[in-house]
Amino acid sequence: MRLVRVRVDGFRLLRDVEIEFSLDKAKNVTVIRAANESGKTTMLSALQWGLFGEEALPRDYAVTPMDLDSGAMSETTVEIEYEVEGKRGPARYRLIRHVSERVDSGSRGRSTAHLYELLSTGANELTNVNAYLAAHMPAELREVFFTDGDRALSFIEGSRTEQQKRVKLAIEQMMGLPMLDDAVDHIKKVEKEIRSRLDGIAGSQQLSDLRAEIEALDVSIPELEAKLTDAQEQIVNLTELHGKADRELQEALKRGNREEIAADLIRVRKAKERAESNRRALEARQAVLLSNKTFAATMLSSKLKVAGELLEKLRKKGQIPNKTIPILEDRLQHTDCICGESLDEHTPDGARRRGAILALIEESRGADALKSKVSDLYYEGKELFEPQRTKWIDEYTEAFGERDSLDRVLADLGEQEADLEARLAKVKDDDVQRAREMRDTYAQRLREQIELATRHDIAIKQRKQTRTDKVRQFDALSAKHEKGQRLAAELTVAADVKLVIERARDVMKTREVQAVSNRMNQRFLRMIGADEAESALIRRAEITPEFRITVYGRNDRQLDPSQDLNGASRRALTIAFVLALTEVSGVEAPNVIDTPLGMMSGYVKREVLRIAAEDSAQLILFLTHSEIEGCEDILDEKAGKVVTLTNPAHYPNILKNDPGVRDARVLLCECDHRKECSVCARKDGSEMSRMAKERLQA
Amino acid sequence: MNNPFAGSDINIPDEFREHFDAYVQKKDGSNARPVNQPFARNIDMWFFAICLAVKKGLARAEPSGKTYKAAEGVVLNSDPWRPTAITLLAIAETNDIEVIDRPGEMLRIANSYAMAGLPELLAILAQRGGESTLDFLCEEVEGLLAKAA
Repeated sequence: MRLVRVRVDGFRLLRDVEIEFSLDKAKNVTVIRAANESGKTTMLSALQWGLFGEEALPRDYAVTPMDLDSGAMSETTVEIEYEVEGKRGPARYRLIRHVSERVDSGSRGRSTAHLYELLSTGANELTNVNAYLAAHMPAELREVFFTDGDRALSFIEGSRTEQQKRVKLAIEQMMGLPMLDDAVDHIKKVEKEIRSRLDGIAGSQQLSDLRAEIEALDVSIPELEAKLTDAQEQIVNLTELHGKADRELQEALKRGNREEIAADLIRVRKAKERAESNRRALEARQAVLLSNKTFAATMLSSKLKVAGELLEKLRKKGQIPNKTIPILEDRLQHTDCICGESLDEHTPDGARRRGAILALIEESRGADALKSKVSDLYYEGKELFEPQRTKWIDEYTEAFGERDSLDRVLADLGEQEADLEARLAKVKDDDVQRAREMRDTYAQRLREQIELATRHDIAIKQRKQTRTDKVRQFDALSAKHEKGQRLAAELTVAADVKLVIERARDVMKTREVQAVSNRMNQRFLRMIGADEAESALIRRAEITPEFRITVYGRNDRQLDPSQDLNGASRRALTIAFVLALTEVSGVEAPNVIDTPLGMMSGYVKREVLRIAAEDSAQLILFLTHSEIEGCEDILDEKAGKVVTLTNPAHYPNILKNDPGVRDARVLLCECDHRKECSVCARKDGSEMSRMAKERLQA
Repeated sequence: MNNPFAGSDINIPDEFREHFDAYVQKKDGSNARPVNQPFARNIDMWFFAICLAVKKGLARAEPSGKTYKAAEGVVLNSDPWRPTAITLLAIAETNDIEVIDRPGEMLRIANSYAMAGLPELLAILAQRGGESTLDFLCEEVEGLLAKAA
């Protein structure tokens, strides 16, 4: 299918707007250029409404013109001309959808659709419009062929289950898998009919019972399969939730248990208090160094030395008696001298020595008071004026070193305290407990669902086996009846056909998914320039057998597209998926994309546009001026048609000229991506900025 | 030796009173810390000034103007080496051993060194900037000793 032209009238902002689409295969791109709020999305909605009816629009979407008075009658018409490739060349059709409704009536009117085949002889109205439309453009393909940059992101964003559902649905519908499902259901009905007829002919109670059992199994097996699918989806969902809860628990554990942190904080604070106390003691000890004897002896050494020398002279002159009296007196209490000689008064030598000692004692006692004072001063002052055994500088170095070490300990404790206080502030009372409960709850539910899925799986296998046995019994029994032989043969044929279709469906599910995955990967890597660059951070993208779009980085590390890709790459990935899907499906239809290049720039933007143009049968793009910027040369080459939509309400803020239109509608002009006319000409950035400032000042 | 200065007072000019209050730990000064107030008693600061003046070879100075009793000589009892040091200083200064019988003169000599050392001490402390009194004084002393060596 290729769109030829569309005419929209009375659809919100669109009044009698007609656009022709490019049918040139070499220049297969049609661009509708429009600023924001200029009818791009409205035109996309009008096209979808025209082709698919009310189901294509959101529930509360009003198609009526926006400035009609409440209660007024509104007439909305969309005419779409398209062509479909047939055996005898392209056949052309015109579809006219119309609805009349009262504005603000609260309920949308039911539209009517008329379809005409356009022949050289004139237009031939076709009955059963929906059947034709379903063949020309199946409704289930709508969301793939008609999309916008934001909506396409839902293939890789949101919950994992939702992503998978959407990707699975898109692939299955595009590949026509629902049709195969319908075929299988149809054959099952045929089998049922044949068995019913056989039962009627044979009149056997046993055959009748077998038929009933098979029919009951035919009902229960799909029910169980649906339950299994549901359980499997739950497993995927719960696995994701469990993983998330587990990560939250790990984070909470990293932040720590509140009680443990509080206890650590008390411990650190006590250690800090002890260290503070030690520091004060060390400070006091260092302060003592400024007033102790070592300090005084060192600082006063020049004077002390002089005094010391004077005293030494006196001592040498014998004017400072030795402090020997107490020693000598003490010695006289003994019978031997400290030199080892005898002091025994009963021996001549001993008595002589004792006499000498007594004479010495007497001589010392004879010194006068001054000498006594000087003597005291000499002995007490020696510690001051003689060279110091302990150096002040050594005492200072030691004290300073101890303080320095303690300061480092204190700084470390201070950091620990601040860290613990910060962690304590972050940890809510029940953080760890709550996270653990969440994880355990999900783990429990996950186990339950896995058990349920296993039970369903076993039950399905058992029932399928039972069914096979029953069918075999039914066939054997029916073959005994002469009249039943032909019907039994028909039944065998139906079963074989069903088997062939089921296997074909299974093969398509895996093979076609792989094909879409491969094509998506090639396009995506080209779009982001990672196909040849060895240094690329993104190495490949794939659709997993579970229908999840995922990407891989260096070392084959799996990445989450919704988190690990930037905005441009995410959009490129989803557009690559849509293009791959339409290509592999073999369905020829236009890719209509609203603002596909938003959030993109430079290389990626140009490559996405170039690849989308090359890989689409017909590409219709709704682009803003900024999306076009930097891609003009590609559009020169690829765009067969370009038109511009302008919203007159943008005057005077954005538009240069007053279009002279006051009602709510957009204007169409033939300006392409490089041109502008009196209707669509826009002010440049600096002018808009100046006006914005003036408005602010006003 | 007995403290010959036990009956004497140590009088210094009133202008130094606030500085003694600033750098000496008071018994009731809850905020006092050795890093900021490195001297436990007035006598310690006074004696430090003597040491500083001697080490720097400053000329002795007599107290002038109004004075106040910064300490009693009896406090020297707590560090018996101090009366000895003051006596030795006086002997060195007078070159007369008999000065030891004249405690008033000995104390005056010591105090005159303190009068020379106190302004120097205050000048040093005025330069300490953001550094603590204790650390700055210790570094100064370290520098003085290094220079002398």
